[in-house]
Amino acid sequence: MVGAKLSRQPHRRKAPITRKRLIEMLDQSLEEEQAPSVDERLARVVRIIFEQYDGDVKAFVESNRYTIEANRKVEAASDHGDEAPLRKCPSTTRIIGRISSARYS
Amino acid sequence: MPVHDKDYRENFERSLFLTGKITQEAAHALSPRIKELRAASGDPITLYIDSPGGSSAVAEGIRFLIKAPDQDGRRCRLITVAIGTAASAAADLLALGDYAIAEPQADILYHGSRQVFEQVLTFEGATSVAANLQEANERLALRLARSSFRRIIWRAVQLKDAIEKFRDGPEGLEELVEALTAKFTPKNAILLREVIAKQKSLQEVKTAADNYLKRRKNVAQWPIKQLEPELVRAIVDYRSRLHKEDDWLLSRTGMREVASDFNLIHDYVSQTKDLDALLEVYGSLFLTQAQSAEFKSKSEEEHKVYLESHAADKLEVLWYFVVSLCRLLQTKDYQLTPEEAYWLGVVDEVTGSGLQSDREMIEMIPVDGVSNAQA
Repeated sequence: MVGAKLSRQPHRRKAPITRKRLIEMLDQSLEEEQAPSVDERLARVVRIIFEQYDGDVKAFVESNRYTIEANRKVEAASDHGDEAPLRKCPSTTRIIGRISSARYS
Repeated sequence: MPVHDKDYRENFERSLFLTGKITQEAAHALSPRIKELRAASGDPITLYIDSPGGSSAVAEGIRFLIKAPDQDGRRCRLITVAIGTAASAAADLLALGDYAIAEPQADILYHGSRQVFEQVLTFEGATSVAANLQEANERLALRLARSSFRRIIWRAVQLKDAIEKFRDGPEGLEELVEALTAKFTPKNAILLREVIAKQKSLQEVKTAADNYLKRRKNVAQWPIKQLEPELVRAIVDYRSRLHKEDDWLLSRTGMREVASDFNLIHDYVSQTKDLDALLEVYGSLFLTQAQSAEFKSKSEEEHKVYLESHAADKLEVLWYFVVSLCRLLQTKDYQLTPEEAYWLGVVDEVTGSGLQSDREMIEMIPVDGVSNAQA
């Protein structure tokens, strides 16, 4: 099937396989990536995991997740405290707008 | 609360969509927007991918255009996001993002290089095409390995019991890979088993060759010209002993086995040369508890030497594992779920999965170095 299809093609020289160009590009990118660059922030994460968590990545992630979640809960709870209504109060412009629309409608 | 880090987050405002087949026309359509984004700022560019693949050369061209330095030498970071299918050349492009994200519905497919032909093929032509394909596969695999390696390190250190064994010595790799295999469907787990089989035969022949060469004087100072024939002798000796009960002859299958072993060792040595930068950063994660205590008592200057003697061999073995894995990914068809792609080091993050990511860890540590959560 493939052979039959091929044989119907006219004899002509096509441009060299683009894959060759690909190989050149890959060579170039390999050269660039030869010495893998390391993000300094990731390196810092590694140092913290090694120094403070004895190399235990899971402990690092879980303890931070726990603290972040706890902070989030504290923040959410404070939203329901005494000060919350004040913070959630609509802006003065909106209040004035509502008053004026009530008065003049 | 964690501070969002733009280097690790997708950004719709500075994004491109690569959808459909990767063709020259698709690249032409993307080029003006790429140039526009690059001119606007040096912030990361997000590339959303939903593509069945296409030309690897064009995909590479798109990546080059995004990442090329501007007149001031500034390069944009590339964040890739699989939003649908990422197959073939699109899967490669996804993995090569400086930060790669897969959405839960993404479908990631790998296979080897292919070439569609419209011309009459002669034997010479076919041979040259085969060689070209093999060469392209090899280079794609190595490039993929370079981008996956850092990710695999983070996966490995999450496998708690197995990483402890691996910290004891490189022979613990098998257990590490076994633990990794548990994260895959049986169909894709074969991939890892094949790699470990190759790794085992490498380890056996390497140990045998090491023992043989140890008996020679000053072998470390030998020039490569002298070392190579001796290595062949070591392999012949190992194979002869291995087959001493069989009707084994070099003139039958023996020579092929010796050549294959030789190439394996040669490949291992040539692949594991440039790991210094990674060793310096990640090496400490591969130390046992006792080694860690000793390491901490050393000065900054002594750290590098210590890691070279206590962690380099583990990192080398892991690197070769990743290279073998990426080579296999370029041979058959492998359809991966986003989670499997994560565990293979193809992507950094699967959104909504709860799997830990570089982004999450970095955002936990703000600029002042104190944990965000602790602050």
